[in-house]
Amino acid sequence: MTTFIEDSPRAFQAKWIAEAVMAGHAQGAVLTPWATPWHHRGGPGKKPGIRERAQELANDAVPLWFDATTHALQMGGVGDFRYYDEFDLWSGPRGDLSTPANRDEHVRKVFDVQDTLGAPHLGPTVLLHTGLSQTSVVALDLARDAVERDPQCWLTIAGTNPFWASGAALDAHIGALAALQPAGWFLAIARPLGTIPVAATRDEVFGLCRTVRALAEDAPVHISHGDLAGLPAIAAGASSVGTGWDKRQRVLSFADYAARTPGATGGGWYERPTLRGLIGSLSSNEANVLQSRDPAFTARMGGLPAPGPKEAFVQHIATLASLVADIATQADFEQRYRRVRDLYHAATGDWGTSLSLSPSDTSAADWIAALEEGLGDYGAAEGW
Amino acid sequence: MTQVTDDMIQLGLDELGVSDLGAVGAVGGQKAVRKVTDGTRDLVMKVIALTPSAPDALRRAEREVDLLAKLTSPHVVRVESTLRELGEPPVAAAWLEEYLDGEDLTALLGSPWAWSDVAQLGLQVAQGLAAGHDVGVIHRDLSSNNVRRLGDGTFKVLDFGFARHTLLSGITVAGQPGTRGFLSPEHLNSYSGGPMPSSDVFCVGILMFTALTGQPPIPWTGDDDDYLRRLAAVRVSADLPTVRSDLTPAQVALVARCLHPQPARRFTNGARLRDAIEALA
Repeated sequence: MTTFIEDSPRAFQAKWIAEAVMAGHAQGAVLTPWATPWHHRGGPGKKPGIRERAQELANDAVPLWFDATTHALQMGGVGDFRYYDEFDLWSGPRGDLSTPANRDEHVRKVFDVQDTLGAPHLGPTVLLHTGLSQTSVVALDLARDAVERDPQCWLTIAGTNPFWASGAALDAHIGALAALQPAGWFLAIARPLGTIPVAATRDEVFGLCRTVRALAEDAPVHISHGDLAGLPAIAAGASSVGTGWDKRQRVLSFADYAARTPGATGGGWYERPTLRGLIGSLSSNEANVLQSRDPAFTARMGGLPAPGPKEAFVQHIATLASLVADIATQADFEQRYRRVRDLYHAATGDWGTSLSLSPSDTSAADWIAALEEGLGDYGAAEGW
Repeated sequence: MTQVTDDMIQLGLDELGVSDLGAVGAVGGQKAVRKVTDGTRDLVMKVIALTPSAPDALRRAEREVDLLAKLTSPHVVRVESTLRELGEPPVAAAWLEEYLDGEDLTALLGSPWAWSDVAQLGLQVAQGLAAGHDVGVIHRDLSSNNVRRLGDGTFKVLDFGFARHTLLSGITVAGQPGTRGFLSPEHLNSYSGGPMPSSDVFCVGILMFTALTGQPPIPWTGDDDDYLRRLAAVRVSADLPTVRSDLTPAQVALVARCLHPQPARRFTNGARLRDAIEALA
């Protein structure tokens, strides 16, 4: 596995996904009640219902996941329930997990939707800010409910930066979850801001790597919305990252679940060319300047796509899948770590060259530094 | 803390229909252990004093005895009766267990053991724990004081006394039990990261390390914070070979995995540890 395509609040490009799967760049799509409605709308510019969408993907042999993303309900400012409230996911008030009956019913209803769509069972969770709180008990209870209902289900772990950076508390919480022995894991890092490059920190990346290394011992691990920032997790043993053609598919942000401003259009297409050598992207203008000043260097960095949103997506996912496969095919955990460390080292040097040719708003300090430092802490803890 | 009195012990003897043969181990405290006989065989009677301010203690003890009675492992002490309440209102509770000859593991540690003996210790304790883990019972207080080597060399796990039935909700405690020097990192936490099956595995690692070297890997010096820091920094894979150069890398790796600071990096439960030790043989 390399990538799953996340659901998109923007127009959902099922054919792009099918082509990515056919090309071997993606291994599935993830639908959510936040971006795909339950009821069929259809027609130009209208979203189809989730059952129709699932059928469309099935017709193209695209493996499908349904992520209830219950953890978005705890995000500050959440309010975009346009599609969410069409789903039957709660027996009580939306988001009420205060009783065992409500928790169990929520898990049952999520699994029911997944059964309807022919998707694997993926247990819901709540958003955590630390591994040691009453809320983390709720997360553990939900996970236990899910595994008792289906021992072969996958489980979700979702947290903000402080959760992933919470050291021994994180490790203890992960240990309790790992004891449930699910079939696989979806890990999510939720961020208040949807900026790319993401605002990762060294401690967060170290915590994520430690967690992935532990869980990957026994089951596959997917990094939801991980995109390029998920590569340290791939080094630690994760098998896939979430991505897409839109910024909101590449970072899990509070802002993307907030109430919509009336009349908002969602902005333009995200067409920044992704350059493998930089393990990052440039704006179209920056990339064009780079190309004009040093075509050979630009080609060595991976080259630029033809103009257009689909072309930008195809280049991005091919680059991302190639990086994931490169890392995942290393001989062992240590070699995976060393491979990513080497990629970051080379990219940091190439960012210097790139900036000397084409000034950019971002640099290696934004795209790589925290990821590299956190990865380094993980390697040091492993004795490498 | 409420102490077990002679009257409570007599109530237990009467209720369970056994005769006293004397104290086993230290006398005093909230729990008493007596060697007894029912006329045909020797048994052990355990009596716990109930604290009026902690009414959950009785229900917890009832559930634990009930669960332990269902465990059928040759490496877990066998429960021979139901739990009986003593007095009206209850002031104590008592139950019977099989009587075990031999010695507590504590008395046997101090000089390095051969790997084959350590592997048997680890294997049999893991088998005992696995019987509990399979039904959702975590020992939570495994130490050298509650592992016994019988005269025939068999190891048995005692005192799932602080075990919690993890599949049942309701009675839980925030402060975790455990024996200093035999705690895992998560023993010092509560909430969702409290003791789990892999915490018991960590304690098996402590037993194996101590048997291999004569010294515990993380000696208790009287300070939780200091202990936690040293728990997180323990590097068995580096330390153990310097003391026991005769061990193979696979043997060192097995003990190191038991003692990993991250619970999810250890063998998940007793069954997985058992399988790993068997695979090394």
